[in-house]
Amino acid sequence: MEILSPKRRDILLDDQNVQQIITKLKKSFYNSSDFVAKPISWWNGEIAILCFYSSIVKKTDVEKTLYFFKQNIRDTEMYWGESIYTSVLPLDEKQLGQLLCNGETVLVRLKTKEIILFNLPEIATKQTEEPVNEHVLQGSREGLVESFDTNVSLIRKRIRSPRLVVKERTIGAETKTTVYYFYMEDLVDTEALSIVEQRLGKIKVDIIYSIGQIADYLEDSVWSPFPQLLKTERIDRITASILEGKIAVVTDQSTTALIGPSTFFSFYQTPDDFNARVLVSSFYRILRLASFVLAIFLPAFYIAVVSFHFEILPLELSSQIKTDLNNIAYRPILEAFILEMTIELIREASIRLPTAVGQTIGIVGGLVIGDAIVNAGLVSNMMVIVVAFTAIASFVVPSMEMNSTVRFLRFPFMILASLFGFLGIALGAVILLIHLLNLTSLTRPYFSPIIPIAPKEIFKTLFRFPYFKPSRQAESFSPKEDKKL
Amino acid sequence: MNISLTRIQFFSLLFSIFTGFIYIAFQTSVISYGKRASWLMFIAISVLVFLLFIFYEKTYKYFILGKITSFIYVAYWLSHLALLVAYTIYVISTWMMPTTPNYVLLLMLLIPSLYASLSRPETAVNIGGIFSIFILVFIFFMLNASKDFVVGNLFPIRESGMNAWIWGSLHSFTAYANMECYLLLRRFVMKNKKVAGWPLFLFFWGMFLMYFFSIVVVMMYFSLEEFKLISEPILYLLHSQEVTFAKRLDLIFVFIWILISIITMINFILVIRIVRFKKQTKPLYKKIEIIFYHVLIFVVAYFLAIFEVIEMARKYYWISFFIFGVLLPVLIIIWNKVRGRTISDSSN
Repeated sequence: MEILSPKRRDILLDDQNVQQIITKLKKSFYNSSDFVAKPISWWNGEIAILCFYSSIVKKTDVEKTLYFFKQNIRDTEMYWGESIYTSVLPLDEKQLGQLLCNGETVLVRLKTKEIILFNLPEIATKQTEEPVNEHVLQGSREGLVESFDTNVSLIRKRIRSPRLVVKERTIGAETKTTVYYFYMEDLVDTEALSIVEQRLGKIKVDIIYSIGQIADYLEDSVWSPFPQLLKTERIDRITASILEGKIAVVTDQSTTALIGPSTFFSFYQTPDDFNARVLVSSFYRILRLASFVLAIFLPAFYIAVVSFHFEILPLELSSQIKTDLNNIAYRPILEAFILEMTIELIREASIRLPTAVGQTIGIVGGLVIGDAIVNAGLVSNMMVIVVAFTAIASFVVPSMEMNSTVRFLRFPFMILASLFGFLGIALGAVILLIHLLNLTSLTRPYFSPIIPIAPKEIFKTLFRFPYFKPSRQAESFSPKEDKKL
Repeated sequence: MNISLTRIQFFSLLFSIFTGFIYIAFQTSVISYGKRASWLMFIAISVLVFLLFIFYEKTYKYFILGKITSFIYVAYWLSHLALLVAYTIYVISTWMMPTTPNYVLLLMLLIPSLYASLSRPETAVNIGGIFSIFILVFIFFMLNASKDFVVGNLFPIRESGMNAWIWGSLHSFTAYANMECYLLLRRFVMKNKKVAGWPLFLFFWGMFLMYFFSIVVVMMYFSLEEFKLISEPILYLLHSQEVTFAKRLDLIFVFIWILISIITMINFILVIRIVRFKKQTKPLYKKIEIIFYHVLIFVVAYFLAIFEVIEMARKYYWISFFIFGVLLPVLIIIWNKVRGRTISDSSN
């Protein structure tokens, strides 16, 4: 692009030539309808070209600043063009496109071959509001928004320390997505930080449109069903994690932050734990962890019992279930699949529909279809109880991602139980455990503090103590390398 | 292979290796041979074994395995594992899955072990700690039978003659099988962690209490004659228990025992890996070797999983422990002590 700096230096910068330059400039921006390039009269009759994207610029403020410049400032002084919103750069046509896309207003001085930047963007963003997927009973209601400045100010509001560091990277050749990460200089796990920086640096793609893409690059094991980075929209959760020495990665295109290194157990904690009574929140924390076991194993256990180990049941219950099952045409695994798939469909439908209709679908699905399905003899009453319990247990998880993982994992366990009974469940349980032990989050043990075992930290994970002191995650599987927990 | 163990990891590994397969069954042979004084014999043997542990703690640095001794031990552990896996599938098919073919049961046991063995060593190191806690559940439910205990079954101890004392004591060794693993794993415990003294005392006598409790409880619950008929007394005891939530409590415990057995197998393979992969070997070769071990265990265990072999193993099992857990280690230690060679010399 040699539009603004023609090779012939003796070219006259009269109106006709300027108009030609503007036409070429507009053409180079594909005549985009929100792209504005117009000549303006600058100091001493000099003609300059003002260009900006009208959709992402705060026009009134630009106008005021421009007027102020024109009236009060001359380029005879040192740093004449520098202020909070403005800066002066030598003309570089290659940079121009990027500057304009960032919401800058550019004034091109053809005569001096320099540009004055007016950094007054107006990019559409929503107001901060309570994250829909992470409700709490008490505590902060603020969530992230798709704006760098707002998010940083929300976090700085809570951590008023110069040791809170924000670093920024631009990723995506086309989207130029701003990815920024927060950490506390004196607390951060430096090795994990360098892994994050290294992995972010390796992202060479054209398009980044969601935080999930970043997570795929940052996670240690993409094929694992378990999320290794905690996704949250809650500012209080992000600040608490940063203060525990973790790193929070955010983009300007999503209201979700990625927090790592994370442990399996951090997915089962909520900000409510630290606002409620000590004993009460400890109880609910244990209940949530128990729900993990229940949600994965209960349907499998039931299938194993009714398919292979009927003799385990007490006599009264056994005869009742046998009578029930005699009227069902399908094997227990099919029964379970019918019901589980129904629940998954209802859940998926209620997410996609507007809130009011979604609730109705839930009621219709849960009560009407559930009742009809039993009356039709497709599934037994006991299976309805088991699957309903399982569904409730899986929704107890505070993290939506872990919730999906738990719901997904019960299917392989159901299949194993239907094929091999208790032995199948044992096989699945050991494989699941080995997988959890193998898993790492930014190379840190995922199943910490169980593995490597740290008895004091286990207590902290299970119980909420009156004085909560932020603790660090284990940094390796060999505890000798770890700092004091 | 380079691993470092904390004290908890070290003891939980040993706990799993000692108790894993045999906890539900070793009582039968001890009581069948030792008669009424079995519990006393077990105490006596435990004191001896504890002294042996102290000896091992003082001399573990002289336990260096050369090429031949490594080969002998690896062959022993593999055959030992094959026999234990055969026993496990025999128990599973007897108690839980009578119609499932043995090769399916073998696959079910070996697949998780293979997965863990192909993972990083820390996985095998840490996995033991998790399921050890289930043994406590066994103990809790065994206490449920307390109303049927007959304390008189433990007496009179003079009924056991010299012959009973000799054979009962030798079979008591079964509880402390694979003591050589102590010597092997001890060198990996972090230097700043003290094992001698109270930690070893608490670990050993804690384990002793668990074993002793199981012997005393089954002796009080069953008569001596009944031990001729029951091979897994703890499971029979649990089988006879009535609780409100389950008719067959024993099935739940077989399930738990399967979990424990798989983990013990993983730990044994870890010990083999430690011995085999002392020097830097290409990861691919390591993986092939581990897969080969599992195939070998599969084939051998498939042919061993018959009643006659299991019964024969019950009779003569203790001999191998005595040779590989006591005699051979003591010889190796003395040999290296005379030569003045320690593990730090061998690793250089």
